[in-house]
Amino acid sequence: MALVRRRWPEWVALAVAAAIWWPVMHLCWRPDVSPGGEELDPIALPMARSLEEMWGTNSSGHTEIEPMRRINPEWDFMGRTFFILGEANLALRVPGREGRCLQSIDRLLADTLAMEQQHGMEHFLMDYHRARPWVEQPPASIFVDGEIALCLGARRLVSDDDRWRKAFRSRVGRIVERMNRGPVLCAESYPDECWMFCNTAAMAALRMAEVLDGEDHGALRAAWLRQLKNHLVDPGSGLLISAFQLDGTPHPAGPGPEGSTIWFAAHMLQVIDPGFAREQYDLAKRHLGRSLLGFGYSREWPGLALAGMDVDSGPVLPVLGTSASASGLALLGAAAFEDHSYYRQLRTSLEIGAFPRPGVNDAGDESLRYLMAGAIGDPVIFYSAVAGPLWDRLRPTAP
Amino acid sequence: MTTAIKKKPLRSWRWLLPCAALPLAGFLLLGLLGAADQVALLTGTRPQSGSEMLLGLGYILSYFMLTLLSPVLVIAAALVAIRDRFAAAPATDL
Repeated sequence: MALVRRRWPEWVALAVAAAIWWPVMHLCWRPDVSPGGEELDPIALPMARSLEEMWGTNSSGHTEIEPMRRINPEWDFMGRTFFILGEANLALRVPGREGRCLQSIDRLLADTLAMEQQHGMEHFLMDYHRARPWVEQPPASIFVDGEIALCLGARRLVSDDDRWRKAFRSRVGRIVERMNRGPVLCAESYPDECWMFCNTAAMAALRMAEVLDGEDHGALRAAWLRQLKNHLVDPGSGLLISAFQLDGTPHPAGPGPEGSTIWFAAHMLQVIDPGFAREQYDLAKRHLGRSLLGFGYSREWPGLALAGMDVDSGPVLPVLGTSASASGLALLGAAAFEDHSYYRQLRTSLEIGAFPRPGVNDAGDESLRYLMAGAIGDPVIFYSAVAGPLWDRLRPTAP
Repeated sequence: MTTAIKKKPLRSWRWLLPCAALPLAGFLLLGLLGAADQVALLTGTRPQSGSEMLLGLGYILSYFMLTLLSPVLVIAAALVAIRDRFAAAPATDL
């Protein structure tokens, strides 16, 4: 009682108040969601409606896409990929939604292929691809080929269609040829610059070809995995490195593991080598996954590794070392690996920090955008909310 | 005869409440000015003018002050009010 009677200074009250509020404030934003559950995530359909509208009838001329393309055309392309993967999962998850999802997927696939045909693969690459010649000729980017194959395969896994079969098979053929030519069985995303992100996506597309068309890429996959495990792992953390030259030498653009690459790569590996994928996810969680007062985030680089911000990471917060892209893709990793607690922590951060804006679309249905996520972040969040059924169709069966 | 004017002491917690309300006022005002549309600036997904960036930054700042600091100030005000009440109470009840 004497302690209460004493006139302690105001700063003590402030400190006590902070100690009361900050540890519990996350409860106000924490959504009650679990990845991989039977129930559809409540944000899935509202986000699908918003993104279907955004990638609507005139995708390439959309007011939100064009300004984004001027900053980085890769974001346009990757936004398409995540949206199509999300729509494919939604079609498989929600009875009666297939027709609408396929309509969106087909429209966007047609637009993407038309853009590529009209302007070349450069349409989706950053300008620095012109700075030096491609090692492998003729020039081809595994970034573009891999993700287009992934989208075509996802479309066919929902409902097979002659219209897309030929395009998928020719793309897969090119991927196989290019990867086989690479000294470490990886192909260039940019001239003499191979990204783990792109090569794991391409290998996942080859897995789709096995399921859809009965092809056998087992030998390439096994040799490719050996190369990854023997030559492309960071010795300090055990995580896959992000970028390397065609001969496997770490590339200055991403010589070590990065949050903006590894979460996605681990997700792709789930259909290639589930054990290795789980190992990479667990290591990524240990080295990059963090939470503070109930709010989850991902570091861009492990440990005390300090590097400047780049176009993939976006702004990196000092001290915490987190970036929007790493944390956004961690959301996908946590959803794919059904890491309930980390997923909920990340979603809590999303709810407080990404400015959700619910609305109503023209048809009177609920829609949802995250204002801080933009046209590239929203498709990643959407895909994270629905991921599962597509990959279930691709998981390798135990020998 | 002189009249002694006793200065009424300003209760020490009272300054905390206007401070807690400031971010709310800023957040609402900037929201009315359409600042919510500008918050995409941190993602860099669209180029913005200087005034749009300022508006967006102000909105984000006021939002985080509102969520992180305002509740702390309100709780602190309550704690100080309790302190003042107990400090003013006679000691005979112990």
